[in-house]
Amino acid sequence: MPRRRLRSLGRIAIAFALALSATTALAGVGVYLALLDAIDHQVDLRLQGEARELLEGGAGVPEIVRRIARESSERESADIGFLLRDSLGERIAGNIAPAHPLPIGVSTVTDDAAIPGLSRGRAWVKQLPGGETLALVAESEPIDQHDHKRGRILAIGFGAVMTLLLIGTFALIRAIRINIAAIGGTAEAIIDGDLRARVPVERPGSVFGALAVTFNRMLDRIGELMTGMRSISNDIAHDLRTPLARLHGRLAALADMPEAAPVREELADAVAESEEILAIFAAILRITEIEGGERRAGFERLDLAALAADVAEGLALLVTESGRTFVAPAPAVAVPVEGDPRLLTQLIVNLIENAVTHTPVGTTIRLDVRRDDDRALLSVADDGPGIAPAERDRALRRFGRLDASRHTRGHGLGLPLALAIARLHHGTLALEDAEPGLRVALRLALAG
Amino acid sequence: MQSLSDPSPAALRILVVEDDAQLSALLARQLSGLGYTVETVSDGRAAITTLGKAQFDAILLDRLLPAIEGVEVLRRIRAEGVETPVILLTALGLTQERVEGLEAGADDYIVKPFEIDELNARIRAVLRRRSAPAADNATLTAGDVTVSVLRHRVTRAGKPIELQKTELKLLAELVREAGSVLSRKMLIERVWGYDFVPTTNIVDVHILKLRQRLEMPGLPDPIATVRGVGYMFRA
Repeated sequence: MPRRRLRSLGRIAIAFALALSATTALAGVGVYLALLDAIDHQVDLRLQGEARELLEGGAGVPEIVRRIARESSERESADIGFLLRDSLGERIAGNIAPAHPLPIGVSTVTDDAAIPGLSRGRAWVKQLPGGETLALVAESEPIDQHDHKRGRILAIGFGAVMTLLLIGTFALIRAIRINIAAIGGTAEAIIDGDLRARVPVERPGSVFGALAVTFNRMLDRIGELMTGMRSISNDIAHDLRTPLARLHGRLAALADMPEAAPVREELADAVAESEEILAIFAAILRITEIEGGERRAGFERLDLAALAADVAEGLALLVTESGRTFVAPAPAVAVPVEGDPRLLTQLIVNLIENAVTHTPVGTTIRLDVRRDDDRALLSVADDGPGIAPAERDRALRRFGRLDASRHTRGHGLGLPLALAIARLHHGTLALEDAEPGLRVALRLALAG
Repeated sequence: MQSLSDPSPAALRILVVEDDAQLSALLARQLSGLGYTVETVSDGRAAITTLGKAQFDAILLDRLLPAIEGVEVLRRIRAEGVETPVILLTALGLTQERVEGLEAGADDYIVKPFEIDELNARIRAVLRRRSAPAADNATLTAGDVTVSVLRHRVTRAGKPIELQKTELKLLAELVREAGSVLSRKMLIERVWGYDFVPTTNIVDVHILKLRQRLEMPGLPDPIATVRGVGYMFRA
């Protein structure tokens, strides 16, 4: 059960990592484009300023040629490429020779223009009144091979962020997993009947610590309620059973008196009636005791097949004398389980007694024990009338006896008691269709 | 109901430790009626004091007592060297309690409510066990019936009788305690090993079968039914 939750935690982490990567990449591209744009703008302004200086005062071609020569040699403008062509496209002056003509206006120059030392730049081109064209070109990269280097910076930075993110996410998942497992384990122990199980609290101040404290307080409260209920049943047992025992004793003593002869039958019925009430008490207390889970302390490794064979031996005569056929094949292989031999004995006795009590004479009752994959399977099947699927749940509930007339023997606690014993052993008890008849199947884990 | 081989109860002294005054009085009356000499106390402290002053043949000890719990009383008197057989009385009969009681040194355990005959049978049984510890492996004989449990062999008047395993265990138990009454509950515990009472009449069914198997022309039924209690093998 916790595994599914953890897988969804993993999915959340992966989705989060993907979203973060996409956002980071988008932001990186945005910053990169904005940076280039800003640099282009800066370079354009510089080229315009330089051009203005070249053309200042409506200088003629010879003056412009002279100025180009001067600017090319000046330190602050030496990185600018100049080119002056005549109206026929013949070069008049300049220090660059682009592989293709540059368009009029401002444009971006790439290494297609084959200008040495320039991989990306801006061009400013103007047609002069005499038909000549003046072109100025400058680099627009902040550093050489900017894209390549920037890519490497991005990859390293991005990798570092992702690594940190993954480490952080896995640490978080681990913390959540450990804490969920602690709470889950405690809940499982409670379900199994260990009502004293609590979640370990390491740091009460942390989120998980606070959750554990709250969880434990809830368990304390449930524990108080359970203790209250159990002491009520103990009180009932003590306070009601003792006077009942007296009543029973008096009735029995009365029945033995010579004066009781005329009403002896009536008194015997009354004694039997009080015995039945007391048997119900005994069964309820037994179920309460089993559900408490303390009996697990007495679990031992045993062979379920041998145990069932013993019970079958002790009950065979009872079944056959009742007019039913009893089939209990001798065990072929050992079926080892961990359990309480006395309680498992009671479970098997209950199932067989139940089959005898609720089937007509002539029914065949079959007891089987075998390995079923990795489980031990014990079943008691009959070919009697069976129980309708809709009523099977009720048959397992306390006092859920199906024949409301209450004419059949037994207190209706046989199957609920068997179910409690199965649960104590972490097993299942299922009512199935034996086609025809009822099969009650106990499934337990095989002992390793 | 009279046990043929047991000593007369008149010589036997029983201490009843029970805080429920009505149940205590009822027990005293019924046990006296059976011929025992009975003394009653209502709490653990009084029980320990009384046991320091006088000798008893058996003690009936309630498990839930004011001041000192029954099991604690039992531990203390056992620690002081009192070896008198003790039968614990309890309202609950949980296995946990049963184990605890037997570990503390109880000889038997009876769940309320019980019939006086059931209690009597158990008192007889613990007294017998004290005076003559059971010899499990020996060949058992009573009247004209011989049972060899180990060799799974039964004879009556010298003639072999075929018995199923459970029938043989039941017969062995009856023969071993021939002359004493064994209650159905005692037989359930000893022969079937159950720590619960089945809802079916499993004991009676087996006794009936046993009688049929042991039946021989001219010989009497060796098993006596003790109404409301159980069965006794005629010694």
